[in-house]
Amino acid sequence: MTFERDHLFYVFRLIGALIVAILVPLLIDRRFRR
Amino acid sequence: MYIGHVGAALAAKRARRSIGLLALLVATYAPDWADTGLCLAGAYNPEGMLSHSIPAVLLLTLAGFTAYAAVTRDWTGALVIAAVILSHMFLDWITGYKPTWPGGPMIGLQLYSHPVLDFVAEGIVIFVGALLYGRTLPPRPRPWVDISIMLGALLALQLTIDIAHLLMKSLPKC
Repeated sequence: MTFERDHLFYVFRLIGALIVAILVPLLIDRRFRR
Repeated sequence: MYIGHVGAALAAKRARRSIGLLALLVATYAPDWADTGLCLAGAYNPEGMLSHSIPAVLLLTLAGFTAYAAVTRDWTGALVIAAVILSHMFLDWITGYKPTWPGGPMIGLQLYSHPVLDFVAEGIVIFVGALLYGRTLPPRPRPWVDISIMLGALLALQLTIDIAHLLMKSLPKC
């Protein structure tokens, strides 16, 4: 399957945003509970 | 809604402290994970019919409930996970414009086109979530400091997204 550049840009942007949105509160929470 | 969904996950932590925050954070973005998978599979629908419509979100809710209950045997926790997934749909109706069902109307206040209003709406959800989350933390002398750190980090993320929306009106979709 060949993806156009826009498809890949969308997927990377979405996954990147989701990972940041999950990692930031998760890392802060971990620090609080140490 | 973007970072506002994190507010829903944080609030749910207060409802059931035994649930790991990671599970709640993954659950709160379930329809967006579905969008990513659909894009990769070449079945992406720009309106979100297969990921954000009422039947799609109900299916994701059922899947999340079943998966969490099967792994942990914690039925109450599974209900909380299900509620978090379902909350995605209601929160998106505040800021987005989403399909209801095949052939049905699109609904939502579409605040994405008004980034300041979007920031206010998401900020309110983040604020309430952070306050409830603060009650799950171990006792400490200045609990408001921890709540402020979480609140500040999430509001900064949301502000970045809203500014990016202001600067780049139309990013390419899948």
